Amino acid sequence: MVTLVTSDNEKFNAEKEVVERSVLIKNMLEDVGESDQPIPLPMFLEYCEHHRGEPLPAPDADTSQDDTRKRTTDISEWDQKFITVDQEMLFEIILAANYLDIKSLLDVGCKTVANMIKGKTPEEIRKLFNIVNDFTPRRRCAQIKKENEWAEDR
Amino acid sequence: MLAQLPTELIFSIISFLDLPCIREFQLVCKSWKHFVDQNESTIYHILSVGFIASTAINFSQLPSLFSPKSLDGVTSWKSFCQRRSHISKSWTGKASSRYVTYNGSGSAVHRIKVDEKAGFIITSFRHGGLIVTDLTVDKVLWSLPQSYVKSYAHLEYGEGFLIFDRLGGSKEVWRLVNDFPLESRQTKTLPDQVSAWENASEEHSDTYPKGHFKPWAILTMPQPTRAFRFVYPTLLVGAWDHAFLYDILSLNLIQTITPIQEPEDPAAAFALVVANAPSFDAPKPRLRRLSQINYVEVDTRHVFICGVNALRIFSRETGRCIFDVPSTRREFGSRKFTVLAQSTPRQDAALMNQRTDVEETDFSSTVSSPRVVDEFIAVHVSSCGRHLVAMLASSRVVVIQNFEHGLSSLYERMIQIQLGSSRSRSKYLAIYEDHVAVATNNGLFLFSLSEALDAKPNSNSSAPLLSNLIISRAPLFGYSVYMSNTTCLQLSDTGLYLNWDPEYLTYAQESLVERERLQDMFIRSLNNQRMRQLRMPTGDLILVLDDEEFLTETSTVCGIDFTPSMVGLV
Repeated sequence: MVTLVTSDNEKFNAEKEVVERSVLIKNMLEDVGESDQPIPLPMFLEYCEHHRGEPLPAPDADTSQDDTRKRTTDISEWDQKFITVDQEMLFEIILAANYLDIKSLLDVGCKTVANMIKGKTPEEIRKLFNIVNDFTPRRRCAQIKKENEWAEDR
Repeated sequence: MLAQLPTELIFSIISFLDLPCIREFQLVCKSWKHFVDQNESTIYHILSVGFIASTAINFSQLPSLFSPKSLDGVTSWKSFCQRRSHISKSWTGKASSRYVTYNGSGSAVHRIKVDEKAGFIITSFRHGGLIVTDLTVDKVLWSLPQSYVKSYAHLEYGEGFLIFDRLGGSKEVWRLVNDFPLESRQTKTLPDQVSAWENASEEHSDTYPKGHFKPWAILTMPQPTRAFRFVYPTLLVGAWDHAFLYDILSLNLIQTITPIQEPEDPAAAFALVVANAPSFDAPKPRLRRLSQINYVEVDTRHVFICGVNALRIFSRETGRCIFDVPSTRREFGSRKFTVLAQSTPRQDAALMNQRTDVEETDFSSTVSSPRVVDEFIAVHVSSCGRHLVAMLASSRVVVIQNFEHGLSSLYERMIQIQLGSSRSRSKYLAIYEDHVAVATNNGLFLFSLSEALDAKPNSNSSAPLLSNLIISRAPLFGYSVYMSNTTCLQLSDTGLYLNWDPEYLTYAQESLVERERLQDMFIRSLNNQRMRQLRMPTGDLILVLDDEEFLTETSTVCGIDFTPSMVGLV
C-alpha cells in the first residue's frame, strides 16, 4: 500500500501496482524503498485503477515505439468518458500525465486535443480555444493558404 | 491555452494530426504560424510518418528507402512531405502525371521488370534476348543476345536477382554484379552462361556496373513447369500437379506442395463455397481439377495458384489447400461494382477518374444460377499478406478481404469489380503497395486497394447505387487493338509501365480527334455490358470473349510518370 497526499493535505491509499503506472511515482518508490514516507499528488488514481493489469510501456521505449500507435485517434469508450472534461481540466490532465510520466494517459489527452482541431476551419479553432485572429492584413492569410495548398486533401 | 503547453507536448498533439490539418493550424493566429515556422523540420518529420515507418528514420536514411527519382528536389522534411503527397495524389488522378515512352527498352517487348531504386528497366522479347535500360536517360546499360535468351522468356526480378526461362525448361538465375558476395561460393553455373556473361560485360564495359548482372545459378526442375514467381528469397515454380519452392540464396529446393490439381481432401478444398450454401457448386468431378496453371504467387505463409477452373491457396506450413474459389461463378461476393461513363478529367493528369455503381448480390439467389465458365488469369496478395486481388478473363477483378478469417461472412468480404465490358479479355494485373492496376482490352484501370476494401454504396436511393469507389483510367491506353498486343504491366513507386505502340501514343497525345474517338469507344464498350454466352448441354454457360488479334513489332515500354514537375516545389 502507498499513501498519496495532495498539496492540500488530502490522503489517498492505493496499491503499489496501480500507482506504478506513473513512471515518476515508480521511480520515487524505488528511490525511497519500502518506507512509509507519503508521496504527494492528486487525481490520477481513477485512471490507473481502471487500467490496472494492462502492460506498461517498456522503460527504454523511445520515439520509434511511439509511432507503432500509428496516429490512430481512436479512444476507448472508458477513456473517452474520463477525458470528457472542460478545457482547463483537459490541459491540466495533459500536464499532470506528462509530469507523472503516464504515457497512455498523455496519449489520450493529446489525441483529444488533436480530435478537437481535426476537420475544423481556422475560425472554428479560434472560437474553440478563444484565440484572436491577429493576422494583418488579410492578404497574409491568403498567402499562407497558397503556400500550403499542396497539403490539401483534394 | 495551447500556448501553456511545453513544446514537446504540442509535437505530441501534432503527431495525431495530418497534413491538411497543419495547414489550418497555421492560419489560426500569428503565434501558431510562428510555432510551425520555428519548428518546421521537427513538425514535418512527425507528419512524414505514414510515408515513412516511424520518426526513428532520419533524413539521411531517405535515399536508402526511396528512389532518386522520387526524392528529386527533396531538401527538407517539408519538401519530402510535399513530394510524397503529390505522388500519392497523382496515383489517384488528383494531381499531375504524364505519359512517357522508354524507347531504349526495345521493340516487340514480352515481359517488363522495373527497379526504380536502382534506376533500370529489364525487358525480354517475343524474338528472344534481354535488355536492361536506364530508367532516367533511356539508354541500354546491359543486354543478352537473342541467341542466348529464348523467345517469350518470362522474367522475374527482386532484390537484385533476375530469373528467366532457359532453353530446355531450366531457370536462369543472375544477380547484380555489385550485390555479389566477396567470399567465393559453390557455383551452379554452366560454361555457356559464363561465356554469355563475359561477352555481355565486354560489350557494355562503358556502363559498368549499373544494371550489369552476373550468373548466379541454373536451376533445373524435376518436371516440366508452367509458371514461376519470385518474391525474395523464394522462387515458386508451378508444374502440372506440383508447386516447387526454392531458396534463391542456398539454391535448395525447400518445399514441394502436391497434389495441387485435386487436393487430397476435396471437401476442404471446396469448403469455402459449400459451407455457405451446401447445394451450391457441389464439386463435380471434372471441375475438381485445377487444369492449366495461369499464374502463381507466393509470400512467406502461402502459395497461391491460379488455374483455369479455380483459384487455390495452400498453406506453406501444412502444405494443405486452405481456400478454393471455383472460376464458375457469375457473382463473386456480396457487392458488384461497375465502371460508369461519368468521369472527371484534369488538364494535367494522364488519368481520368470514373465513378462506379454498386449492386448488392444476394448469395442465395446465385445458388441456382447456372455456372459460368470463366478462368482466373492472375492473383496477387497484398503487401500485408491479408488480402487478395484476383483477375478473371472477362475483365473482372475479385478482391477478398482477410482471406484467412474463415468461412463465415466470407461472402461479405468479397467484392467484384467489372472493368468495362465483360466481353473484353483481361490482360495483366499488377500491384504495388496500395496501388492496383489492371489492363484489359477495355483499357487500363487503377484503383486503391484500401479504398476497394472500404467501398460501399454512397446513398440508399435506388438500385444500383452510386458507390464511393473511384476507378482511375488512363484514356490513351484505351485502344483495344493496341491493348491486344500488351503482354505485361508493372508498377513502381512513381511509375506505371506496359508494352504499347509508342507512335500511336504520341499520335493520340497530339490529336484531339483521336482522343475523342477513344472516349467514344470507351463509352460504347460500357453500353456493351451484357455477357455473351454459349449454353452447354450440361446447362453451364461459356463466356464468349471478343478477341482482337493484331500483332505489331512496335511494342515498346510506355507508361505513366507520377512524379510532379519541380515547378512550385519549395
